[in-house]
Amino acid sequence: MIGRYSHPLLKWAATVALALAAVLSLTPVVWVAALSLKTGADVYSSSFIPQTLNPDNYLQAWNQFALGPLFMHSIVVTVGSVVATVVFSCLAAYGFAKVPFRGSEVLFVGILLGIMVPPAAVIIPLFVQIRAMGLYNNYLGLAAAYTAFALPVGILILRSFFSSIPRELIEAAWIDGATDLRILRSVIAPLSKAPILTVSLLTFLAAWNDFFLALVLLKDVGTYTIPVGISQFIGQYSTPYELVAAGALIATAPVVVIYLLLHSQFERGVTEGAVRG
Amino acid sequence: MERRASEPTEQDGVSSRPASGRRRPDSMKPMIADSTQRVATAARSGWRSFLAPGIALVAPAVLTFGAFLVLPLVSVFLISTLHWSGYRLGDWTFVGADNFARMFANAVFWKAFANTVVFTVTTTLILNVVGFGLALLIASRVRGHVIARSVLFIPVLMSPVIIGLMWSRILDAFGAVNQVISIFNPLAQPILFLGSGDLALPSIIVATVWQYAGYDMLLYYAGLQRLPTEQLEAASLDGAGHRASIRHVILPSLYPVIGTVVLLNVIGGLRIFDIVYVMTSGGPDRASEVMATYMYQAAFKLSDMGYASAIAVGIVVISVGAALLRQRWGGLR
Repeated sequence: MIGRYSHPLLKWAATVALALAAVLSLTPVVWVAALSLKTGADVYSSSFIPQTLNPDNYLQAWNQFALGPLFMHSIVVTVGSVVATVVFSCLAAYGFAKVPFRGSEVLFVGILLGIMVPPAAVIIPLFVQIRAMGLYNNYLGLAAAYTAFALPVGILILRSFFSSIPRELIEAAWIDGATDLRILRSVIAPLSKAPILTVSLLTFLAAWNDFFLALVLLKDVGTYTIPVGISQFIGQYSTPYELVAAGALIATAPVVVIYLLLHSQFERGVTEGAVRG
Repeated sequence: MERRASEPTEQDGVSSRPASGRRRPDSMKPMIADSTQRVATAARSGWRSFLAPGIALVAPAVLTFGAFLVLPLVSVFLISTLHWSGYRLGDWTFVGADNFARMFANAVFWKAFANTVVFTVTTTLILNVVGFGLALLIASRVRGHVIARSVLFIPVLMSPVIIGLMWSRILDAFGAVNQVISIFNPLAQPILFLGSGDLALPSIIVATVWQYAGYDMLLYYAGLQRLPTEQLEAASLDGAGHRASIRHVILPSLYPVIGTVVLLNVIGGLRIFDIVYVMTSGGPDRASEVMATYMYQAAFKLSDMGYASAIAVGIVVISVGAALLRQRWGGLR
């Protein structure tokens, strides 16, 4: 039923409605893209279209906002938290799914409850604690926080997948004398590429886009990640609008490029993460 | 090589373990014994199972989770009973429920609370209606639905900071909205959306809806893919029209999806911080203050850690409430 329209007029109306929604969704981005190509004098004009194209804005924005270092910091923190989350989640999910111990069910449910904890609820003690541990203004502290928040969903997704792996496969490896780590690496991981990719993408998105934790746990401009660095643009009213626009678009580019490369995995990952989370 | 491999079997029989750790066919038997024993250990309860390998496997995750999430969650309740600037550990005074008394007596807290509720309810309602409508359009596979889906979904992946930054430009005196207004009325004064007490919060709601419409669309689309096809076919054979099918087959089987999406939107709405901080910082004159921005200001601008922790406890209580509601109303499994 869904998928067929009884009347050609209905089908036509649906096409128009969807096109309209897509245009509405795209307009702000296109407008900002146009702004990013304007010259300084042109910014305050009422014209949507730049009078002269000025792609130099991108280079200027890159330099003025030190986007190179911001990208480096974001990459370091994101890669660190993705690796830690995937490794820790795989280990724990394997433990919960295949090597149960006394109290493991209770522990698992306890970790699941972590999904409900908003970062704002714990930020004050987290800040105090991370400072006391000497991890304030430090990527290790920030990545640890991202990992802690990403683990519940990661363990949940991987555990349910690992549980579906036949017990015989694992027992066969035990009989061959493989250790748990070896089984995880050589038997389970190769079978679990899809859920591991899902967990990686979810962690990547959360860490790459996070603003709140980075704002509190990083102090120096020289350590900022992209969202915190970029938020500083707006505080500077002297900052030319066209450069802010160019900087915002550069900062968005990596996520959009990865989405275009892996769009179905991304959509599945976000759906799965949401539905399970 | 052959001689060395057969050596242990000749000397010690099945009890021998290869010292080198290499896999050997002749050590099959002891390994089978090991494996059976392990399964038994895992299933057995008792103090010995604390030494089970499962503990070591979950330890890294449990320690990270415990240290950076559980411990702070417990501490926030303790800090909420203190007067503390946050600069030095121990440099605090215990004040009991005083922070909560101050909080409930403060009009700004209630303003932030009301704004959070208004934001959450409004975005949830609009997002669900828009997202469901978009999902129906996408699911009908009209021309261009693949491209439209991507276009609508990309904002979901963007940082709210960048969304806020873009919308601040779009809504400012020289932004797109005022440009459009000036086309129709060249003499109109530009509207300062983010500088107006009445328009600041609605502006943030618009930007948030713009960002997350594709999220609800995707979740509803996934739900639509799981509709009971046979029932729909039966309904259409029975002569049920479009509307009757929606009402009697589609909606009932979507109730769990609706519950999940609504509660995800509620949880997301209660957490709102980034986009408010970037677009208005809670202003003008607290008109768009939400609980998280209010808490951030109390903690990190005014160094009133105890009071800020009381607000954080409020956030915990509301979030747990939403989570309990979600459990009660089930979800998409």
